[in-house]
Amino acid sequence: MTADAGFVHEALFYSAPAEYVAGLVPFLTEGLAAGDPVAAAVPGPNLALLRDALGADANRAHLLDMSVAGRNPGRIIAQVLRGFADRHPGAARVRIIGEPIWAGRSATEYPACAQHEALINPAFEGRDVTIVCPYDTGALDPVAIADALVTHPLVTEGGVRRESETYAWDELVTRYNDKLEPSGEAVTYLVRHPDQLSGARRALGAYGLEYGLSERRAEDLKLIATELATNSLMHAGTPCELSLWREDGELVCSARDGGHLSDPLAGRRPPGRGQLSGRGLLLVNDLADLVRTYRAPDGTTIQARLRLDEKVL
Amino acid sequence: MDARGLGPHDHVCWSYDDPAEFRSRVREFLAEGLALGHRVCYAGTGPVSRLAEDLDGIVDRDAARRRGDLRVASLDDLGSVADPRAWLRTYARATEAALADGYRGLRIAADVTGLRRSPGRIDSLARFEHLADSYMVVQPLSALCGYDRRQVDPSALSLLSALHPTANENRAGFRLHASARGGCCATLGGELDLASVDLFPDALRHADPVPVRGRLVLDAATLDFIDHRNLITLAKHGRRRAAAVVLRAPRPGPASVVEVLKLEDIRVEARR
Repeated sequence: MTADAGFVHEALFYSAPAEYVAGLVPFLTEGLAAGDPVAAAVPGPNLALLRDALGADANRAHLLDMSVAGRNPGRIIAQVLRGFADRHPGAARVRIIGEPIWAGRSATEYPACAQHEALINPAFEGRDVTIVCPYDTGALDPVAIADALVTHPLVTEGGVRRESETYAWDELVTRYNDKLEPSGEAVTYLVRHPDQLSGARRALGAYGLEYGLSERRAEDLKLIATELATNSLMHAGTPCELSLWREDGELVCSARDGGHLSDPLAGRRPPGRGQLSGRGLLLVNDLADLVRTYRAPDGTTIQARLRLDEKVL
Repeated sequence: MDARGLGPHDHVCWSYDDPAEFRSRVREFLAEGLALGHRVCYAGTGPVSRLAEDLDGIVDRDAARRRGDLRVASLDDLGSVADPRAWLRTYARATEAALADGYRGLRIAADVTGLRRSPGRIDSLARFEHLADSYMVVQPLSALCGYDRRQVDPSALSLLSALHPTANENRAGFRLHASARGGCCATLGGELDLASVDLFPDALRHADPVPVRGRLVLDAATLDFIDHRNLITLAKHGRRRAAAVVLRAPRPGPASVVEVLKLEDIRVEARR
């Protein structure tokens, strides 16, 4: 891998723990030997596998439980991947293992996870970073495996690395641009003017508490609703329809406006000094357990979901 | 809503459409001040003889004036509000004189509308309101500041009402005023969102609370909401004053914004 230049984004297919360790640990130890900054963000059980295999070297790698840090895939690029890579601007190469897709991801989460994998490509274009994403071929839906070939230009399977013939990240982003509609049972507030933010926010916060959010999460909901509606008023220049409803174990807060959100990486760039736009969506991505976006030429819908059990952080 | 039941440190902004309605508030505010043992004063622009007529109906008005319990003053005699610190010195001297004369404090009802005329006046007036507010939290001076809505520009009125701890109508949605809490440079209350995004920088500039030992500690116990744009405004203000901004807040909202957006110049502390 020493010959790699620029950004390398690779899927690693595995079906057993031994294969996981054999495929990933050398990537980490070679990096450590070369003095590269090394990180792994994978779900808890796999994190334990890597930690055991690394032994004493585990202390020199940045290890994160992806099921917590990356619960909402919309925050992985800013908080986890760039969060790590940007701390090492002088490194010859930064190495990261990122596993955002696992068998427990729900049907609502999955499209956002696949889109996240796709968006890693433009987010890291031209940077001397290698990101390897493990996929459990034994446990995941075949669609997820096929999608991994669309979102990764390189794939390693059985120790052999090859180029993907179906790589087309932007095609996947479009394919999963599902239409998002508020539930018929939603409470809805139309915000046309900044002076209407306060009333909508208070009402949504009160509903949130009634639906069983903790006080802390109800405050987060108020921030989410305000930031989404503010974005609509400022960037779309149209009214924003805020809706809230309960769906299974989650509260869904949706914001619909008549603007076109063209930047695919909106809300996924880390905050930079002097950069004032995009922070609202960044905040929403961080606070919500899942964010889904529907982009149409004549309108944008963003759904932020909050689990009714506590956010584990 | 009326102007009754107010204490010796209260500072109220009263905007009105009907001067007769405001005069009723003045009479009840001053009558209660007399009952509390304060010297009371009515002020406005124009001649004292005309101002005194506004107090028709205050029990015992003429006797109270003769005793010195009730005074009527014209703001025209106070010099230009372009020097807000000189105004504050006048108010402070009047408060001290009231105490020296055996009163328990000074209470002023003033119709300030006549001072508005130019944009520069509004700036000075806003600065004066905050300086006076800082004096009132520690000294026994209470004030009812009247503004005629028909004559004061709405955004100026929003700004002025935001600089008072109490207002009969606060269109700004937030309040930035002096704090009586030890260790706090000012109090920030209410809600700050897109509706206040233009007014909040103005309010900070006019109030310009003074940092203590490099820290601008704001009592945020009554801060119900602040979005990220207004937090950035606060961070920028702190940077200009070379001070670290500390929000003493009971709510977690600001803390998560500060953390996610890496606003290095702001700290959120649990309220003590």
